[in-house]
Amino acid sequence: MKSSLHGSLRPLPILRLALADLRDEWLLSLCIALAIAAVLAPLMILFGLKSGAVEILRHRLVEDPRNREIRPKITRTFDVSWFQDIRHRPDVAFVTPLTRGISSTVDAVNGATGATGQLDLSPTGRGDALITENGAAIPKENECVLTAAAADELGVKKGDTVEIRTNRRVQKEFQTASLKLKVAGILDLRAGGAKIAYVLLPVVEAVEQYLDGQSVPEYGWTGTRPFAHPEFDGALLVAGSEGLDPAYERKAVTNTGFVRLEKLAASKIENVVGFKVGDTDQVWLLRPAGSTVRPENFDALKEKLRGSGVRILPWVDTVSVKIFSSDGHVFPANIKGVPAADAGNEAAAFAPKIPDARKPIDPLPVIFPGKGTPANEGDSIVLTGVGGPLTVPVKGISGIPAEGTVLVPSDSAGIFRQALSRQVERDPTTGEFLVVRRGYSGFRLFAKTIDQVDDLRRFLESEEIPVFHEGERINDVQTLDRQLSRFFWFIAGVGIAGAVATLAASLYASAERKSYELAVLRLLGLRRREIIQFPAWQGVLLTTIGFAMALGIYAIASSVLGQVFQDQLHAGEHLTYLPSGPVAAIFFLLLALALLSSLLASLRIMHTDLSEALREGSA
Amino acid sequence: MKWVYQLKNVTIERSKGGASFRLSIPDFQIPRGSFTAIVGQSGCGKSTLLDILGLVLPPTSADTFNLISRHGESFEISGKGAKELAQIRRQHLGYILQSGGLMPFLSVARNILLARMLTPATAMNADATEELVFRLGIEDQLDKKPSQLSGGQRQRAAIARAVAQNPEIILADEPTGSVDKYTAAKIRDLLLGCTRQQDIAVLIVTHDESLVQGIADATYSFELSQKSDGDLRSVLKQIA
Repeated sequence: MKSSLHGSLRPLPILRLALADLRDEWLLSLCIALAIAAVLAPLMILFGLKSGAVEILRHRLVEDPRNREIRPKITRTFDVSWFQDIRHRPDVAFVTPLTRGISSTVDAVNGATGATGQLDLSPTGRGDALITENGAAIPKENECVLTAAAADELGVKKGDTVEIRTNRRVQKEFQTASLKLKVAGILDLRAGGAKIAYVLLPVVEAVEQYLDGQSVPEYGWTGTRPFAHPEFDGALLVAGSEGLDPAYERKAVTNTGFVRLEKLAASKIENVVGFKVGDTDQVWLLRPAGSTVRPENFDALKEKLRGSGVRILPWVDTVSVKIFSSDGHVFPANIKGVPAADAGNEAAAFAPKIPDARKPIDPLPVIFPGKGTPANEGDSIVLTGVGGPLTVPVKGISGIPAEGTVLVPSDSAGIFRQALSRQVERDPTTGEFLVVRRGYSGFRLFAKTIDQVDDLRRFLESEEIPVFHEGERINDVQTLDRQLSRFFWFIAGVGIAGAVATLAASLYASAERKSYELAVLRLLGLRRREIIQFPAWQGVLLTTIGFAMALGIYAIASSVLGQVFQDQLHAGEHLTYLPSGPVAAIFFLLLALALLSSLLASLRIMHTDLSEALREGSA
Repeated sequence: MKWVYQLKNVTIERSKGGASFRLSIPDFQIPRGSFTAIVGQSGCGKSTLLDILGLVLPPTSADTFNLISRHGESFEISGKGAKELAQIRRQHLGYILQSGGLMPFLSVARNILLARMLTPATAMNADATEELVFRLGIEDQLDKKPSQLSGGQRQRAAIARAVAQNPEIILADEPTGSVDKYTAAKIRDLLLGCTRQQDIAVLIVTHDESLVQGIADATYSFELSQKSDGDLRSVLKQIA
């Protein structure tokens, strides 16, 4: 039978010696490890609570999409391109336009019970975190998602039908439009206490359109269409050789919308007017206070100049277009208006004749440059306006405009002028000019993370858009985190100092008590670096055991705290949380300090006289 | 003759409580495999001599201070650094201290295994060590800690560790100081029996002259004198 003499102290002989010594004096070793654990465990619990509580607050902040929402404080026009630009920012998760607040309130009726209530309509769409992170899916066409308060008010549940109604008054007559929407989901209470129905943007736009008096054919709602209205840069007053009485000059700029009257030099007249006037005619140019004037300004002007004998012509300044001829040529030209040559229009008496009695779908009658060459079938005028080109088919008629000018009926010139400041499109089926929606009065925007809310706020404020946001709550949590961290590190500093003092004192005392054994090992020929390893290994082992015990105590305490506070915690939340990084850092710091203290102890021992150590030890 | 130690005109001076102590070793050799005894009263310089031979205390001066290995390799001790001295101690010297010098936290077996850890190339193998342990009669004590042994058993274990290391010489400092005369004689005999077989020299320091009388190959003592200023002078002399 092999005896224990067939064993070995290799590998790591000094570690084995150190371990054997700790095992031999296990009670003392346990006491030292417990002393370390007693200092570390409360620190770990404190750190765990600090990290856990902040993490819960932070998680709740992150989890609740309302904290990532940004809304403007002001109402202004945000055009479509603004939304396209901001949608492409990397920190924007979702953005949707908002219509005017006053037009987003509707009456709602429970389709089954008849229960009624008033709801706000709010647009939503793909990526809306408020919907998707609060227990519902983005509604489809003819669907809505209700807040819990809205659902309570109407007594509806998912799958029910709600009818929304909106009312308007047109010429003293009340009119109502309604739309049935299926309830696609009901949001968690967390989504807010307001009574809101979330629908796709076209629904909200339709309600706004209806309230503006317009029709919404998709829903069968009748009304007008958003026709474009002519706008002009001013008016031309054409008088005969007798000129304009100064009294009328004053009247022309009094409460008419016009403020400046300028008599044109004879040499400039054709160029400004766009065609030749009578040889002895004198022409005045009236300019408005604002940028443009509309037909009602002309009505006022006509009233003021009644009896003066002057002829009033709407005037557009510079409206550049391109003429595309059917044979492939393109000509640049400048549009000027000509009064319609209908019977009884004395203003048009001296002007080239353009008939205005036509259907909107018919090609626009125009007088082209080039000695009045009639245009061909398929010719068109294209104006590059706001939001895109406005293409109008034209029909050439006889007449001689000024050089580089194309003459169109005055009203059409006014429409072209409007297309320079608002998007105007021509309905190809009716030929009517319609203004396209200018923009939206607000937006709902979600940052991708709570940390990006402040960046977005700064960006929007740099664009002079003050916003509502939850930045303060986020900052509060971040400040709380920082403050708690300071408190923790202060306490941790004191605690770690205590642990280090305990560890250093214990290891130093342990090395001192072992001075005789270490002297014998030196006598037997162990080298200095081997002797130093002995207390060093003991320091590492005791620190590791103490740290592991502290982790065990922390785990028990964490479990107890979790049980006690379970009612306040959501699913998946933990009151205590120990991040591995700082914990590992503390562990390695303690190890380093343990090594340092054991090194100091062993260096002292190494400097004592070996023979004295042997004599003292054996005495 | 083959020597383990050769010392000529070696002196050491130490201060003790204001007075100085000077030990002179005019001529001192230890033959290989011999049993050399150092006897004398307390304070005469026995332990100081042992510290010099154990390479723990460097002499103040020395004409010759050599250790010669069984392979004929001679080590000039004077001027060697701490690292080299530790290496020589490890390879060539064995120790038996008054209390045994065993590691209290290791079992007897592990204490003996320390020898193999220190000199894996030259130490006894496991079978030879087992035989040694049987010879010393401590085969039943191998799993015990030193604190569980009697004084005699502890010294036998210390002998086993020292012999298992297979050094050139074993320096024994009062190895029987804590046991009765009968046990002391038995320990001495066991020590001599084990070392002679291995050709290991033994230097024993004892205050009990009778323990080595007629048995030691050479016995040395000290001629102690005190000068008028209180300084002590001690000279090593062979007495038998």
